[in-house]
Amino acid sequence: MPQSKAGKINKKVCLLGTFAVGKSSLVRQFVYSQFSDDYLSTLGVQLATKSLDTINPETQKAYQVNLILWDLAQVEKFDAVTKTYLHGSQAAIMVFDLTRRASLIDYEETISGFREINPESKIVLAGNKTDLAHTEESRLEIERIAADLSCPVFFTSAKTGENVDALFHTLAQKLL
Amino acid sequence: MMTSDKDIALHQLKKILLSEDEKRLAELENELAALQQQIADKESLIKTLDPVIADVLDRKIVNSRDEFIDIISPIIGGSIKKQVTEAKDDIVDALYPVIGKTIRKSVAEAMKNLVNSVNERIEKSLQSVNIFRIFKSKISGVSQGELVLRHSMPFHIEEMFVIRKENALLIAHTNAAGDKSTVDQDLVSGMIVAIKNFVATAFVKSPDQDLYEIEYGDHNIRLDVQNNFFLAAVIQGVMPNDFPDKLNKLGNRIHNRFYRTIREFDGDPRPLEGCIAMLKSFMNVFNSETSVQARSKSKPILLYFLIVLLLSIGAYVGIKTLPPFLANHRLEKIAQTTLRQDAKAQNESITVSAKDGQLILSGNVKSISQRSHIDSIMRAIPDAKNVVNSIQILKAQTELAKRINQILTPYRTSLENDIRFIIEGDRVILEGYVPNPQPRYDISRIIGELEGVSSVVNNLSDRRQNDTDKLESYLQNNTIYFAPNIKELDESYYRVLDYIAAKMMILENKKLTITGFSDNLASPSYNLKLSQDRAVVVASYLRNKNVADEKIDIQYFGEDKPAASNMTEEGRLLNRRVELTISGS
Repeated sequence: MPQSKAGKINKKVCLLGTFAVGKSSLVRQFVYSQFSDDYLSTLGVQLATKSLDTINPETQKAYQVNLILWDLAQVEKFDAVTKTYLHGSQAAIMVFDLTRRASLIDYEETISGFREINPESKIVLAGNKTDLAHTEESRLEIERIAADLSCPVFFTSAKTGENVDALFHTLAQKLL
Repeated sequence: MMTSDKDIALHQLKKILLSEDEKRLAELENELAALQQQIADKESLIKTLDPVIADVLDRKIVNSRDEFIDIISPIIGGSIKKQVTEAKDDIVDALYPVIGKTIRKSVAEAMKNLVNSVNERIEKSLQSVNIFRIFKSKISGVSQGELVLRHSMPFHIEEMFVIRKENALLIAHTNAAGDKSTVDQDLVSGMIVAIKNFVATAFVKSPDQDLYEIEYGDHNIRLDVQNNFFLAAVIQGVMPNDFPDKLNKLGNRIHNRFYRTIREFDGDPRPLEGCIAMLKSFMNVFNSETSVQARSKSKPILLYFLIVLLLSIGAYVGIKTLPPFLANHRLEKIAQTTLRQDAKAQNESITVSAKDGQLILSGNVKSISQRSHIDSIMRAIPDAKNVVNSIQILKAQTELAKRINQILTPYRTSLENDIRFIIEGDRVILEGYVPNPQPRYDISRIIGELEGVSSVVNNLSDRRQNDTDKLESYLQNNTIYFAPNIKELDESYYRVLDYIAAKMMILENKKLTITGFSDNLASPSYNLKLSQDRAVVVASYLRNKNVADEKIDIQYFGEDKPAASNMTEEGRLLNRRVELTISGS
């Protein structure tokens, strides 16, 4: 049981991953309402916020973590504008498409580009689209990447909501 | 002969049959000669072909417009560009009568509307409001003309944001709607920074360029860029000329007070709650004029009543004293609104009055930090020249004091057993003399177990204190504290220093060391000077109370030797101090 309730803490989180892996769908599934669809085409980023209550496992203190989610339109190669959006991010969710092995190819460049700007940030992996047919090889490959990067991995479905809350709650806890 | 006759006959026959052709041939030769002459004469040729070619080209252009443009654009474009470059002045001269006329017409139209609006407002305002405006102009230093314009073109701050520059996280926010905004402020602050970064990266070519304003309809987002944060004001209406400058000054004040905390900001906005009070004070100053105006529109009777009241007061106290009265009244009103809107201060019984541009605060609060918080939000009001803080810390909470007195009664068996106590928040300080060590321990333990007491400072002594001991004990419990970035002595410490001065007068061969300190919210060199100034101010007060110069020694350490952590506001408060100690035989 939490001993005491602390205040609201804001944390910036970027969503990384190649096109059509389901980054925006994951955010939409998690956030429901606060979602800024209109901005993406103009600025190359859309923002969403979601508050969730969580507990610091070490101190047992309760926190309200307000995740400010930056969903980037173009992340294969970070251009100058995209780099400015990554600055100060305290965490990133690297999203892969389980049904498309091509989405696993350029992750190293993406992660290293992000780490260069935010060396201390946390990273969580998401293997998305579990609701669609996919091979066991894709899962194993993503698990191998997670092991290499020493970060947690979640197999999610933005369509059914499978593991989406767990993904963001784990991330929130890691940020405390 | 026969042959010759035949030839003659043939010749005549040819002549008869071909005469027409020869004639025609001669004519054709003449026409050919004429044509050759025409071709040789270019002027004549153009004159001839012009109607034909023009007609053909017209038809070609109409039928193949896009194709024609593609072909001719590079040629004509280059040519025009060249001509424009070479003959800028000629072109300007040629276009000026046309464009200039249009611009003049537009400006004239806008000015006409403005003048009508101003005239209408002046007419509606009656003479009494003009008088009010004259006073207001004198008080605020803003010209009457600008005041009229401000009334004609209302200005209102709707929301203010303090946003961390690096990661776009929201540090502080306030809005005129009383924090009932339906928009997600975290989303807005993120988007403001995203837009700013986008513009800076995509368009800005020089480091001294930046995005300072985002305009939409009659709303603007005005940005002030500080080292670690952006200050954004969402405004409606026509921005006064001095607004960007005032916004920048507010940004500087926030920077000076919070720059370390902002630099270390990790998403938890609580250590920066003081920012909100500063934003509200700033917003109140600009919005109070609008709200007065709005009220006067909706309730003219109230306006007339106020005018009559003002004129009556003016007649009573004399016209010369009215402008300061109005200025003080306005300042008082802003301060009261600020206190009401501040979450920490709104439940305190604080009385605020204004005199000569100074805010005078009185009342009681429970803790030093609360007193300091109220002090800082009052000082953040731009028009307040100074703040005289006479707020008393509620030292003797009645019930607790009664209970302690009951506990002490059995020990106060003789006049010699002079036991005194002070309640500071949840801390009790004991002073005085007890005959042996046991009651000294017992009293401290019993009081320490009382509800509402978290600690006891036990300065009880089982040996009779002489004047030096008494002063030493008194000095240990009476540190002088200061508001952020302030070196002036607060009036509440006059009583403490008067006592110290009186004791120093009778103590011979004793020297008083006055040591100044600061928190770390500025550069080390600035803090060192500030701590020196604080020590000097305390020394000057004591000198004025007849403490000899040679009995005073001044030291200062700036932000070194902190009494508490500078990471919290409470800790910084304890570090902004002057300590006094005595030495000598």
